[in-house]
Amino acid sequence: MRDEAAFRAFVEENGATLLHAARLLTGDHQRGEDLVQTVLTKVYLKWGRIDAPLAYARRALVTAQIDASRRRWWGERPTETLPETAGADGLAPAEDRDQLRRLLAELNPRERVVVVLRYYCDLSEQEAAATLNMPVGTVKSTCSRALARLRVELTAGGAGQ
Amino acid sequence: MTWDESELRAALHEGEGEPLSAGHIVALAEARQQRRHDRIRTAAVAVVVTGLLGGGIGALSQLGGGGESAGSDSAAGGQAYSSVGGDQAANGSAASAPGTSGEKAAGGAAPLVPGPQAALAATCPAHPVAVHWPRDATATTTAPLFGAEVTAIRLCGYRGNAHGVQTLRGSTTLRGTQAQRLADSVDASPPGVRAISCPPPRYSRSVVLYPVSGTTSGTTVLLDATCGINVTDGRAQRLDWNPPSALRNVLDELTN
Repeated sequence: MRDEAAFRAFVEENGATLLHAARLLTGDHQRGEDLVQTVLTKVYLKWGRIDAPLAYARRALVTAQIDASRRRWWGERPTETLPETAGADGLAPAEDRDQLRRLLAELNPRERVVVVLRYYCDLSEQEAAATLNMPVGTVKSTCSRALARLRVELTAGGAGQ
Repeated sequence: MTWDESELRAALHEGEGEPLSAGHIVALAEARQQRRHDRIRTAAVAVVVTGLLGGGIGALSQLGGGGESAGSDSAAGGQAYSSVGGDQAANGSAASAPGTSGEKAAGGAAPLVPGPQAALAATCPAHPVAVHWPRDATATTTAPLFGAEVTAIRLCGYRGNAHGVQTLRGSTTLRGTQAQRLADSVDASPPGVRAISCPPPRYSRSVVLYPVSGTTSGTTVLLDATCGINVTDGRAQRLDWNPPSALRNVLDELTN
């Protein structure tokens, strides 16, 4: 028997984080919502059979996003402007943070996933490696490469401004 | 512009906090599960219906086939041997219709194997087995082709095509007096060297006989009906065998 109350509590506690992570991964407000909805639906259907729901949800999130990015019709479409983000209207985020988010969306899917897991979900390299089912060394190198690209792009963007 | 990891973290956390509706997720999941169950149920029903239809059609076709030929062989080229059983019944013989054990036709058919029951029940080969004719009229050519007491004979009939390739046309099993009558009749024919005179390949016909005596399988006998009816088991032979009319009908049906 599925424990619906426990699932609701899980969503209450982690839903917002997962939704935001999905938006960062997809680079799109709406697609992020779709992605997290799909993943949480899976979690609910397997509820009671999975030991660590949050880890399972994170893994499902990144796997679904990497799979989706491989499909041409669901592929990345670089845009000139950062997609509208919820909550940004009244908060007026700083320009450099805004630019960081835009540059994040320009990373390749694997690099973006590693950055989000490491710096948004605050996972260790080992945890990120376990989530992505890849060696720790690969996580380290991918993360290092992603940060270097962000720095270069941000420096170039800053110099250009 | 420079930045450190804490700024990256802060940038990534910007705008978070929008709550998710757990109720909405639960409703979506329930709907998805329901759709999946519906699909599985539909697929299961489709499988059952298909199976029932297939079984029904198979049963109907078996009933239809049984009415015509009492379980006849389906022969090579799609021609079924269907009238031997009827002829036998009309003649009051003890011959059973072919295929009473559910045998199949040529083309991938398992060859006959030693052992009386297996020989009688097995499927005829798609093409006749090789039985060589004796080269000379030696003493062995006059020996009997069948044992003293023949209890059953499996007959596999073949007909040649335009290229001289013979393929299975029909089969049957003769038992009791019918089998004995065939054996006696053949052995009573004149021995001698086969006269090779008129073998137009496209009309070639042959019947391979697998005799059984009690619990023992006899030697395979080839009956060449292309030009007259000549019979051999590879050692002995009989020329111009004149079969009884009932058996002639059987042989004609098997090789047509």
